[in-house]
Amino acid sequence: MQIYSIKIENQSVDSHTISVTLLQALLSVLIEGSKGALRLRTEGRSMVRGAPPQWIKSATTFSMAFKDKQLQIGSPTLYESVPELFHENEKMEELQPESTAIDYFQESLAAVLNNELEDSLYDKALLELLQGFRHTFHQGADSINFFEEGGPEITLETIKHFKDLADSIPPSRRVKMAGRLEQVRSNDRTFKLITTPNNIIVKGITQPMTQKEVQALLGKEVLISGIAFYTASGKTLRIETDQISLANAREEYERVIREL
Amino acid sequence: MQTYQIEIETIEPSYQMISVTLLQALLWVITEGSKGALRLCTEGRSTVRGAPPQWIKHATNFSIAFKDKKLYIQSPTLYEVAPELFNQEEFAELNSERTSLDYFQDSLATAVLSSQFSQQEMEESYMLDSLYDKALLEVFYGFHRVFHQGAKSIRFLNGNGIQMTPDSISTFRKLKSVVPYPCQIKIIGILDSIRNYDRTFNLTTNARMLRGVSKNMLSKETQDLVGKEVLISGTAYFTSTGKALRIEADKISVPEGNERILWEKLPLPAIS
Repeated sequence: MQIYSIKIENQSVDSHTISVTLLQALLSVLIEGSKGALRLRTEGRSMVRGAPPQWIKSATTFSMAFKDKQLQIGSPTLYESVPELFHENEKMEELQPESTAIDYFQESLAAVLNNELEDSLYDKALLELLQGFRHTFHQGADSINFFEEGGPEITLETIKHFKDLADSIPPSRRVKMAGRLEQVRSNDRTFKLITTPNNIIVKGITQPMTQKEVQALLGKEVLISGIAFYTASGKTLRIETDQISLANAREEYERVIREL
Repeated sequence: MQTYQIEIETIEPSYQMISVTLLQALLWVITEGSKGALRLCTEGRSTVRGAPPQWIKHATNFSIAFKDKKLYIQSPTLYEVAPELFNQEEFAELNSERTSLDYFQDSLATAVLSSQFSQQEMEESYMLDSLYDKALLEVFYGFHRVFHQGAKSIRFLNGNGIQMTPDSISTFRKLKSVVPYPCQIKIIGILDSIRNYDRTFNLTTNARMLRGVSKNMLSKETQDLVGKEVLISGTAYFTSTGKALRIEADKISVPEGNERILWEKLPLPAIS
């Protein structure tokens, strides 16, 4: 279990109590943001319609206390909450067992606040979720700081930054991509494709596939078609495929280039 | 401002920290239950579609702290949140020195202890089972999520010292199941008073007072009917013992001819 301190500046003179509506607004962003940050690491998307997987719920089961205008949040490490994630079979190699969901949330938040180039740590849905901080300011908070003394704090002005960044993300579009299918994980249907000809690793999510279908495509040259989602700088964040078929990747690439 | 203490016994003993999901579930019941209990006192219904009136939102603006397995809740008194309403004596049903949490605890205690009252006591007292309605019991039923999140018991240390355990949930379920279905009615009575603020009215019929809410704005003509005999057409809602809790009026009019004889008694509720 790791303990994190979140400093809340507000007008209240009582430093030992916190407004319930402010707390609810803050916890909503923290919990949903942590779920989103975790999901983004593993699936390349922070949000999907429907309930999140059980392991994400377990990893975001926090405890809390409030003292001296600081919200203390206790978060289990991923290994403590879901040890099965790190079993050899179907291992989630994007995640560190000793890290917590809040570590990933903080990492995404820092990337947003510091305008870091590592823009795959957030997507449009996560930026929209972060705009939910405005409810905490409507409930009397002046600033919120998730980091050590001197770290970036969130104020009402920061909300505009979240919005501007979300607006700068290019819209998703339909694509075809050729390459070698490197990995397909059955528990969340994610895959990795090494593109032809420039050998870039692209993350994606497939339609449901049988084990036999996966085996027939794994390690082979394939052509995928689907919707591509991008980061703020225009890099491909993920592809949500509707079809994956065997193909000569080089020939397909050259055919598309010729058509263009 | 009043401070209340709630003792939370959990499966995992931690004196200084509380599970976020448990706290969220508990605060939801307390906040929505307090809104409902207040509204029930003034309108005879705990929930209506749409946002609650602003004064109810202010009255349920709580602050909390957690220490030594106790949740401390600070709640403003009703006078502190809406002095103008009490200066104008809009709400004779409410005591302005009390808080929304006091009304919540009254309703909760009555529902939890309902099994300890005899059927006769319940039927003879209008107060007892009019402190909750089906929608408020539904909110109280939300305690089951608190117990699913690891709580073993919740004790309200102020006031009546009510203790909630997983067994309390079955009481709420049972009470919900015996509340009769609402039914369409027409009833004759004297329109004692109306309150424009929330469209509520009081009607005396067969020497009993009934509370009601008009679905429509109260017109000037309706206001002129105060103190006179009227015919109310609408829907009657009942308590768990079958007494009329309120009437939601579609129409308030002057009775004609034989309507006085036809509609002088409230029909018996259909048992759900």
